[in-house]
Amino acid sequence: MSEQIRVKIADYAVKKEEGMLITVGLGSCVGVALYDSFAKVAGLAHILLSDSALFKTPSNPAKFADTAIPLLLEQMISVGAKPIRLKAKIAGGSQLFSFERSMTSVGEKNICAVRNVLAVLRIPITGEEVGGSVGRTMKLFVQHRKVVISTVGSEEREI
Amino acid sequence: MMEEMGRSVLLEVGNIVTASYLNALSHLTNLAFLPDPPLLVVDMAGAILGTVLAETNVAEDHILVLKTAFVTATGNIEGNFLIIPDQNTLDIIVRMLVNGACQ
Repeated sequence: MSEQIRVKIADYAVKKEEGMLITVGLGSCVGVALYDSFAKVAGLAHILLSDSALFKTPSNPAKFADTAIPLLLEQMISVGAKPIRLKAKIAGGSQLFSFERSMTSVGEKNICAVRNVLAVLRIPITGEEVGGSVGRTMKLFVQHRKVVISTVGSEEREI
Repeated sequence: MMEEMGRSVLLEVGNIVTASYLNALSHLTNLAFLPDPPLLVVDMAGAILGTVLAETNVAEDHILVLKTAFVTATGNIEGNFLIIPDQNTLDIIVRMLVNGACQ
């Protein structure tokens, strides 16, 4: 059975053994795929913003890099993953709009925040496709812990 | 991908529609809305929407969606017109619309 779980914006999901986690349309958002190959536990988060501390009352912790990744990690641990075995692949953080409201785009901030959070948690990044100016769809095949990226008008590729 | 002419037509149409829409909203709410110069992006809908949400720094989980039909002499255009105001503006708009409806 190859069940699919669709991860929406500012959301995350965990899947064990087999099937696929997919998140569609990462623009400045960053998709974080984590997996433990030994326990066959995979998780995917679709992060909208870098830092929950920027807001007085952050309503949804799954929205921010600093709160979403620990939440994802916690849920993966609860179904058998071990932090020390985890590997990460990340995608997204692009700049679709060419306005320069600030020096650093939201996408770049998101990438940077995700890298920092993963570094603090000591989870190595083993593959990535970040930056640029196109939207991406990210698929994580649980059984083969394969991460595939697609963009409008190009072939799917593994990272 | 779209050619230059197509892109500039879309940009201009977007500009006109947005300006007239904001104008109408101004009349309804008695507030002034100032449009920024238009930008055009052709990509996945989710990627565009997510980026706009992130760029406007929305901490909240509510947006205002106004369904709009574009009717022309030769046919109708399918599309969606979304307005994503920040929370303060959304509060003001909703308040003005509700009060307006009561009068």
